[in-house]
Amino acid sequence: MSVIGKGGIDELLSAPDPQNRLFITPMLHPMQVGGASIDVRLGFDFVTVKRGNIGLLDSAKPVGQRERFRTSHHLNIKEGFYLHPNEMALGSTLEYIRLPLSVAAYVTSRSKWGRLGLVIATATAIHPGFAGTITLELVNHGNVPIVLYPGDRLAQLILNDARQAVAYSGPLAKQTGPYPAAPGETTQADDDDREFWYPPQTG
Amino acid sequence: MNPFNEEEFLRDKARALSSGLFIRLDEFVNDFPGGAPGDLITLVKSFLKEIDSQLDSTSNKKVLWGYFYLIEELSRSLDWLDNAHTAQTPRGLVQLLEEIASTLHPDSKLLVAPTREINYSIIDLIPYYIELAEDSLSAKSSHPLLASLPKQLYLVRFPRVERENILNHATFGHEFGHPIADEFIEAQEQKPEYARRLERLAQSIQSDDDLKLELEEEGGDEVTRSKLLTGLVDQAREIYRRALEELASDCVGVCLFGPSALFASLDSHLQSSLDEAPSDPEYYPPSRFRLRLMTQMVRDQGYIDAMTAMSLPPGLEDVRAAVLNLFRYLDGIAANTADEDSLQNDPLVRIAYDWVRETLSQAIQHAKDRLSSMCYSSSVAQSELPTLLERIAVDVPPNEVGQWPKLRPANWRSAILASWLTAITASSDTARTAAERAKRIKTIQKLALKGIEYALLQRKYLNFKQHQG
Repeated sequence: MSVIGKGGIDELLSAPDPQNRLFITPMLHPMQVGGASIDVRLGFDFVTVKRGNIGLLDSAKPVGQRERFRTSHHLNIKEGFYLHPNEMALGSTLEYIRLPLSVAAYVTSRSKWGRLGLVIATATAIHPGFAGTITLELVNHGNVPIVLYPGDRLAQLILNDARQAVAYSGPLAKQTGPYPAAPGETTQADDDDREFWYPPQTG
Repeated sequence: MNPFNEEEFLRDKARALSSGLFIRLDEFVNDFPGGAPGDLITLVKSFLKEIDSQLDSTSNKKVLWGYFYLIEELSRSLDWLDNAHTAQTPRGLVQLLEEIASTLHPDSKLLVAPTREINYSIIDLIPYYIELAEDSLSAKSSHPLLASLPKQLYLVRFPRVERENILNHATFGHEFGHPIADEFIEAQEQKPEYARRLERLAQSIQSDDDLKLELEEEGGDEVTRSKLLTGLVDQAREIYRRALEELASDCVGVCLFGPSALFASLDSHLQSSLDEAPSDPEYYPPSRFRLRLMTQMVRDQGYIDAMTAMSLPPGLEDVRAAVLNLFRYLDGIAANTADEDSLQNDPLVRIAYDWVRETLSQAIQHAKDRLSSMCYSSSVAQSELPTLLERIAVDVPPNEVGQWPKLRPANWRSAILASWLTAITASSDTARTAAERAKRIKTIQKLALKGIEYALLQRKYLNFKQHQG
């Protein structure tokens, strides 16, 4: 598995067959494509948790009424989002990304932000065939609040070759904003195993 | 203990109400750091401060009750502000509406909010607030409250249940048409020919066999007959006015949004009788009449030819077939003249619609002139649709055309139209289950909304870079 450099990225972005093309849109500035990475920006939508409305998150329990413990924030251009020390919020990339089946990617912080204490993603893998905006798990590990603005170049994508992949079709596919999953939310594979791993649920 | 004093009681109640409204407005601060909602909050607060400053200077019970009424009226603003420009209101919708308004009504502001009603509307709030200030606060035009008002503050409402359905929001083209149609009608009413046309209208009423009989049977003496005739003329004029308003607005919709305006109108037209004659109080023209007019306009503007001739990428040929099938269906609706029969059956409606037919082409021309550069065009559609359709087919928003690194933002109307064509194709795909089709259409709506947001953002960014040099 090798990292794809600028020449390869340009080739993928201009592939004639849309099935084999890499889409990263809108790429507002050509300098976003670096030597072996692509800078991506922060989008306009955020989700935070209303802690007072939720007892705990337990992966053994199905999540009901998820809207009760989530608050959506919607910013306009030039408006800031204040991320306080030890606070976590979900954001998403401004760019909508579609990977061809021959490419996998991971998303990582740009070092400038990392040095301020900002972590932008913990689940960093992006599967071949994924289409959608990328949800960013923003955490401020620094000591002072950080103001984030839509358009900030927070993260970068590193692309790798992938072989014989199957297109991603999980819950994050075709999302156009932050996707606030919950531990009780399961995939088909998880569902098959629930009784094996989790205690029986009552009520 | 002093005896009960009704004036003081009223004064205290008014002050409490004003203070309550002030606090409710402050509660919106988290939602609206700025923009049109912030402007409306500032405006209503200015009213409240003015009321507070006048409360102590009056002991007139009628005036105090007047302040009550005024605060109650002002509290309607809370309903308008609720969820305006929040996550409940799609950003792409606000952006496209602002784009249209910036050209059609420069210096205006838009407050976009969902409503529980299945209805689209655009209302200018400024005349409402001016009337409140003049009637209830005796404010003159030089009063700071009135001097600070924006030229227009449009309250734009869309059905909350259709929030994500950006395709149906093409209905706003029709809504933007209303002020333009009103301009035409008002200008027409100032012309000398208008008075002459009203005289001809009265003559037509008097010479119609059925209406003549009605006038003779119910008319009685000359005065009563004259009153009855005036009533019939007014009613015919209203039927005429409403027809022209709706039909010209439909044409504005097609000018602004192209065929998407026609597609978005299908929901409302196909759910009711196509041939219902105009009736009190709304006097809507028959749906079939409107569909025929819009279909003809779409054809006249070259969209059907453009969609027939567009060069589609491999695998997307079924899009052309699906859309041409829809136009065959619409042509079938238009070929049936049952609506004309309905219009002919009612003599007053028939007379009013004779007038509509004389004037409609002028109203449409006025709309086209007024929109000018804002009109979408079939040549843009033909050049942009293939790429955008290709993007939607691989689940990518339809926001740009061209080839990397020379991509450019698409016209946002093309983004909506490409999404409509994909949705029509998905609806026609009977090999899929209804649930699969619904899921696909939901995805198309999301991609369309994102496509519009992106295309407008890219255009704005390009302008910024150009100004930056």
